[in-house]
Amino acid sequence: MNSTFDDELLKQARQFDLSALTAIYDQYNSGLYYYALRLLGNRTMAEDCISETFSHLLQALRNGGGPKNNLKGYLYRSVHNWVTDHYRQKATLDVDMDCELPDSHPDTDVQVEHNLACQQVRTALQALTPDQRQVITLHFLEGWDLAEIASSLHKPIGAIKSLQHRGLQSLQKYLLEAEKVKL
Amino acid sequence: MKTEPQKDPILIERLEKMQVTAKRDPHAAAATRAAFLAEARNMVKGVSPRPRSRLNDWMAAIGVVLAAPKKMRGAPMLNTVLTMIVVLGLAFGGGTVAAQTSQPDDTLYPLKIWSEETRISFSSDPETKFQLHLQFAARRMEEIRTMLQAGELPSEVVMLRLQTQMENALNLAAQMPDDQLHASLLQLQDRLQEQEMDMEQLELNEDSDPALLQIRDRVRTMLRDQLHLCQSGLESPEMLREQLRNREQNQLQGGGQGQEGNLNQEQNQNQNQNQEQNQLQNQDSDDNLNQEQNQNQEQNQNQNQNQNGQNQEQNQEQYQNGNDNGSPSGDSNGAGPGPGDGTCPNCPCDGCDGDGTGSGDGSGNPEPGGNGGKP
Repeated sequence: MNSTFDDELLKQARQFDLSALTAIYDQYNSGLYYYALRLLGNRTMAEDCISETFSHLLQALRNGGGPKNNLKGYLYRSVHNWVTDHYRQKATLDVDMDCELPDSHPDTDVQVEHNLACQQVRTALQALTPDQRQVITLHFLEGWDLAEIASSLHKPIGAIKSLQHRGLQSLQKYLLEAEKVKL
Repeated sequence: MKTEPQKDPILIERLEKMQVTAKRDPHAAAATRAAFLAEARNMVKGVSPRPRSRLNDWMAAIGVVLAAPKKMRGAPMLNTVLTMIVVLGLAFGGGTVAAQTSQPDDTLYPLKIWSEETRISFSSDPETKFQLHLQFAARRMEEIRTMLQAGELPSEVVMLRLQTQMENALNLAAQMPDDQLHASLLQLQDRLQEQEMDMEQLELNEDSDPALLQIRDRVRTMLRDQLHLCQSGLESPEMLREQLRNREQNQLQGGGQGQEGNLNQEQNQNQNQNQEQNQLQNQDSDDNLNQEQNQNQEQNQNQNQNQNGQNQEQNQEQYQNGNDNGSPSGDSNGAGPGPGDGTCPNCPCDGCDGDGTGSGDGSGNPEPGGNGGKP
């Protein structure tokens, strides 16, 4: 999405222009939903997350806050923080067993195996620091480039590379340990 | 053999596997959208006139100021004062923004610290002050981590500042009502754990400069001490307050000289780097004392609180004696039992900053805003 267009939408949204608010929702809700779903593994919670994220945006705008620019980065950070809080409050999350593969894969074994692998990565991701987790999920799950992540997190690109490197290292370590326990 | 994480195909494949998900339930999506639109419509009704009226008020206020020089041509002082305000605002405002990313060895760094101290001294709400200390301590941690990563040695002033900010955050939390204290301590605990993990992952190895390793270990000890206090506060707020009170009393009894020593140390530091090295060597003994102290505290807590208070006082005296012996300026190596720092997870806001320099004799500064090490 063109950032100038986003800025224009934001300007109108601050004046509580309903069409601008609707345009923002329609533009981002789907991407944010799948981002939340990948991190949570539960469709109901992903819907709750989206609902609260946009409600939070409305309240922030009403109080004169909200994003100054980079609306997309703001919304993804909000979702990320929501998920982090949720994991903090609840040690284990209920995972939908049919939410991972498109349209319930015909082979149940494949689906179960896929779900378990995803859940393992999800648990390992929670062991990273929030910044590392955000960099890795945005880069590898959402396909953002590092410059875009740097702009969203307000950090220099060197710091993002370093976070990615350290995050992947930790992830590799946690997954190897999980494999050992499994064996 | 260990594979570079970026080049580990299995790891990358496992991450990419997560990109595949089931389609969204259209009914649930429609319900979420409808709820958002309903909330937005309600707000449109309630909120839309306010920004305009607010804007009108501002425009009226600005209009008065802008119109004043024309009407008051006989008052040249007003023009001069307005010009000075604008010039100073531009100069310091721009500089302060630029200083926010500076590192301790940069020219603009003192401006960054000054702006942090100003923000704290202008905030009156304890919760806001707590959040500021938390965020500023996180900045100090990041500065120290960046320096260690680059093979540079953080100065003693930076270390003292980190410790003071951690202590101030905990002191402020302890002054809150119990339910608020609990929430603040949970936040503090999360931050400390994240920072400890960050420090643990710092890429230093056996061949690194021993001074760097010492600093890293010292920071980790600080973090662990804070974490320990935090956990004790989560178990019993009263016990935490008692511990902080004891520490404060000890500081008042024996700390005055030490605080002056800190100030002198800060002033002399840039001129005398050898002193810094001596202090680093003495650090080992300080850290050992801290560990002993923590062990004693844990044992004492298992007995009873009264006895605990007495033992802790004795331990703190021992600790301060150790410092006095170890440093020419009276104390200060300060990996003492200090409180922690933090950042801010729940809102997507940018981080804020930290406070000032310190009363770094390893214990809490009773003044939350306590910059400059005044007793």
